[in-house]
Amino acid sequence: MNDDPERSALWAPLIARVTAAYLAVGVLALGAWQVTRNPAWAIEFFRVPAAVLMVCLALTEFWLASLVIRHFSPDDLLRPGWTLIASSSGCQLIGMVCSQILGVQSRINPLVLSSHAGSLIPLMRKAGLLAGGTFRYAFLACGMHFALKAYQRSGLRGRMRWMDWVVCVLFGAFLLRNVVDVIAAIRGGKTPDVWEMLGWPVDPLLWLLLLQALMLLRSAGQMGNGRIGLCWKAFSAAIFLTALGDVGLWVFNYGYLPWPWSSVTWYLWLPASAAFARAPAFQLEVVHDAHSVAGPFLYEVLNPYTP
Amino acid sequence: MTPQSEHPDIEDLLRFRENTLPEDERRAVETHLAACSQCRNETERIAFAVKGGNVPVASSEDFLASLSRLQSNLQQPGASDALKQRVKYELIPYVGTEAADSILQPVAPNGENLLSTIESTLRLFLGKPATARIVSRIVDRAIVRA
Repeated sequence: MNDDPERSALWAPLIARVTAAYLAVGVLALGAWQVTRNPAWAIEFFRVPAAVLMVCLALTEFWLASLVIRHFSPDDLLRPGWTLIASSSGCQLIGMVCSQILGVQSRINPLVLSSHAGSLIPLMRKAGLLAGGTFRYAFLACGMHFALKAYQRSGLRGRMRWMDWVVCVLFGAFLLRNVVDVIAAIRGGKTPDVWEMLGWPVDPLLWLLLLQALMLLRSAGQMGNGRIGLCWKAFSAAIFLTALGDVGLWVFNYGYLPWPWSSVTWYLWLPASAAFARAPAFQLEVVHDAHSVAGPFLYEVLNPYTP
Repeated sequence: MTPQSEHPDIEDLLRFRENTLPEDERRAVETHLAACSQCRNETERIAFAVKGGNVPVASSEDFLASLSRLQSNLQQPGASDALKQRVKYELIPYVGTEAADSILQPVAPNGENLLSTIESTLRLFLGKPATARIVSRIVDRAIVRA
């Protein structure tokens, strides 16, 4: 794989098309489950093809985000921002491999052949959830902070609308409910293990990310139809879908949505992963477009800003 | 090559073409060119420019003449607005209509801070190398060729 300008424009539409095709197959699997009354259709879809797609999307996101870093000088504001975003993508890749492939009893998991599969597979799943949860979101929140700083410095930062505040308050209530549940469980005699405790920051981090995503969405929206904003709009959509998926997991675990309809929330993770992968693709596209414009060295020769 | 970027800078490419780079740097540029179509194109453009070929950019004399012509034109009423309009048109694909208006708002009537204003905003989002290219394009299209 190389950093070819001509190919960079292909990534965002390719990611969208592949994910749309997978979602279509997923809907067919859901339909087959309803018709045959056999849930194996949907379960198998998520255990193998959807798991492979999630790993591929995480790999794509990591690779594209790493390529973006190279286009920033060390003194550029967004260089550390993109480094943090790429680190977040790296954690997501590790998390996806561990939780979707190595942490699941499936045909594509080589660990099932091991004599220690019984202890290794649950350990891999926990490690994957930690890498793709707490670590991924912590790095991402730091990266988004730099993006917001860029909007602030440019004077292009948008204002949140009342609807955004409603979303934040609702997610805050969801977070509070989880905290209350954890406290109640501990008071009831439950002793959380270290993996559980390491997972506690996930919801607060998602709440922070949701706030950042809404600010970025409004800022990018205020810019108009420019291509720079596409990357940050994609990140906003990805974070929103992730937060929605997190609430979906909670709804599923607490049985608030009747089976089989609760399984619909599983489908949110595919477009969320696709949006995360498309964000650096949009950034690369605009940077490569800038590099391929006519007369590029004229300004560099006469550029008064280059030392 | 500059430490900031993996791409060789314009000076290195010129010296590479003139065969005046130290051996190790020359090898590094050569290796980079083998893998980077963007820098190969750049080297070709430099070769054309040095030969006096038909490249789609103005010469530095033309550029400086255009700048002084622009400076005198800017003294005329409405000239600054026309320039801003042309620059806005070039900025819109990257930043969008509303942001282009907002970025150009603090530009002085005589246009003296035009490039630095654009550069400082674009650099925040796209980094120094890509911003230099875009500003180059704006200089070329909205000032030199206008």
